[in-house]
Amino acid sequence: MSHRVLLIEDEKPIQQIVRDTLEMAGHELITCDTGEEALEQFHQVKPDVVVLDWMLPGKDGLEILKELVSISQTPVIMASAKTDDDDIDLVFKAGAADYVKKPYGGKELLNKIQYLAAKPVREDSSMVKIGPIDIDVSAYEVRRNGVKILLTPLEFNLLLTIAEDPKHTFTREELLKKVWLHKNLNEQSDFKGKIDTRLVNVHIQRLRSKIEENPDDPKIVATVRGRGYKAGLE
Amino acid sequence: MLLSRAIERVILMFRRSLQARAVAGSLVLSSVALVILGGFLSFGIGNGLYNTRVQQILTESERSVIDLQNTFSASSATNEVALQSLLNSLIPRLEIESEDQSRMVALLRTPGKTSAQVLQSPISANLDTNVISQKFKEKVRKSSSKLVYQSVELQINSVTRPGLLVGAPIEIPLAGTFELYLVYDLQREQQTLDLVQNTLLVGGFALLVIIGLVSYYVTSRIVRPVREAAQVSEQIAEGALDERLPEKGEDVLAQLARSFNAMAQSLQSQINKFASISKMQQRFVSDVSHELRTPLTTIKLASELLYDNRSELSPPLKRSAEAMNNQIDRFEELLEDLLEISRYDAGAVAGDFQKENLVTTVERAVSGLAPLAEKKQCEIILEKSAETIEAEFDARRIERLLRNLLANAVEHGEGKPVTVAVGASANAVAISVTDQGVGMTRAQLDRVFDRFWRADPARKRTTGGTGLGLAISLEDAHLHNGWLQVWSKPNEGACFRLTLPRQQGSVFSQSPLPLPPRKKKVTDA
Repeated sequence: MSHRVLLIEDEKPIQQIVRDTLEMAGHELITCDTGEEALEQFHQVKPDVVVLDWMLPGKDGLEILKELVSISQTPVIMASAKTDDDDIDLVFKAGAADYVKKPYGGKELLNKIQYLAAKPVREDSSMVKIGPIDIDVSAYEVRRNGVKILLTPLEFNLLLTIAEDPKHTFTREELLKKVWLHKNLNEQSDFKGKIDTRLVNVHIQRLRSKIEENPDDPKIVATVRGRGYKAGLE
Repeated sequence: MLLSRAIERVILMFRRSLQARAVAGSLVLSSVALVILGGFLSFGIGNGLYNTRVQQILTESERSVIDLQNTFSASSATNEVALQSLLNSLIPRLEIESEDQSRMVALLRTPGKTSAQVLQSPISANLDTNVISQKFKEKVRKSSSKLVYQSVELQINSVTRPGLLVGAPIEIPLAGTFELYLVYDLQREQQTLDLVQNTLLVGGFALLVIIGLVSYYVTSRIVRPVREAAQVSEQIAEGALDERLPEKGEDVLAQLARSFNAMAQSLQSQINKFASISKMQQRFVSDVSHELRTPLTTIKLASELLYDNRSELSPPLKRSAEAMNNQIDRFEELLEDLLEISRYDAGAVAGDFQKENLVTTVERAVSGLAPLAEKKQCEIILEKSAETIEAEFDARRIERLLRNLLANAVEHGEGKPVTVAVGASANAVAISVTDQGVGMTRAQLDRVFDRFWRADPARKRTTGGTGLGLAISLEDAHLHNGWLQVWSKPNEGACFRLTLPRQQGSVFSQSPLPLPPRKKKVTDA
């Protein structure tokens, strides 16, 4: 499946090699050098995923991230040389869908782009129900009491995974494997492990804020203390 | 029980309070001085009173004796009756009777002298003649008309009073030698002395109280600034570097305050200087690592692209692509470790302590090392005392630390099994990683936690490693207020033991696991 990716990065060599890597994998890459151009490009290109460098000349990556999040559902991957826990928290709080630490490799980036953009491909046109939520898998739609809710592909996959096996408690590692398509968690460095558990927490929070009546008292996606998440019993 | 506790409390107060010791010291010393001075005064006054009175009594008595002797010598009494009536009229005249001053009289006949006349000896009614001892009587007889005296105790109304006994021989015509005894009551002098002594006692006590108050006041004037200085230095030690002492006056205490403030000032500026240097250094390392990351991203992306398509390359180019790909990972690790150690150097690390199951973390670390262990054909044996060992720790850092220890053990274990033991006690948890490989010498052990130090520089490395791993591990252990200790012997292997408190802040003095480790056989038995 081909995705359209917008890369906002001021380093020309990085632009070049990311373009080669993505195009070899069959995706389309549009690049832009500065934050000022980014929004305009975004509206023209309508990408599936945005890869955004934090430290840009002129407009800061974090500002662009906040603007993008406020106007669209498109997942944004933040790329940065900053690795402190506080920085990572800042990025996730601002609404990033994921975070890649510089230096990143082509495979890592490709993997993230794929799971963020991938829509579930299903032959059947089944409906899955979880509490008051109806998931129309083939139409890629979610309704709460008949009202349509807009979810990102990742949130959709997360909800679907939990809804399809309502008796099972999913650990964060399991969700990373199933939803984020991580293969070898143990080969990840410790700091990535930290990012990963945050990643699950952040996206569960976002999903809840969209589907739950009261996100602070979740009824649809419940937390199992010390273990993980499972479909709430209604 | 209650008493001993009270005594303990008083002792504690004395040990704690300089002021209490100073006041008590001055009270003890001044009471000793007052007792000596009071004793001396009371003795001197008593002595003076007594001597004056004795002189007065002797003068009085002498006059009385001479008067009496003259009267007898000049008397014209010729018979017993006339003499007796003369005696009876003369002797009672010598008596004095008053509340506090009295004189009693006894005229006794000297035994052994026979004479024609037998006279009755007149004796004061309330005089107990036992007061006049035989020894004294003999002294009087030998005195040849001189006055003899002695202090005695009088029993009057069954109360003992001080008295003075004066005696002299008297010649009575026709009747022979008699002895006249005059007994003086010194009650008035005793009363005066009592009054003086009581006054001294009361005055002494009052003086002691005053001395106590004065020394309390004086010491508190001195101790208060010292106490303030102690408080302020404690605050400074806790980080309130702006705290200062008030500088009042020109005396030695003001000088103390000024010197103290000067010291605090110079400490503060030194600390600020070091802090800014350390911040600058940390900024520098962090900037360098950030600046390196951008070009490294390009290199990594390019290298990966080449590596993934290496099948299209000729063998020499393929080898280059492979070598580059491996080394970039190592470069990245090195950057990561440098950044981490610079965070520790700058004191910018805060642990993310959570209550978690330590066994899970250990198992994760062991399975993380499985690919390397498999490659080196090294078995990792996990010995856990329980399935769940709850403790409060930073799971990410402890897992990194364990992976590092395990990687070292597998690397140096020469393919022999590596044992990981997990243990717990009430206050502490511990993990030990033991290999049976080449081990280390004493000199090598001393440097094992040094940065960039390698046990054997010539050793062919397979896992890479940055040389900072154990240095960071040690910092991680210290962050948890734990221990990271090592035991090793050449050709017997090495054992690294990590001991952590169960909860942050809990104190432990012993690790739940032994170091050096028990031999495998012993554990099996």
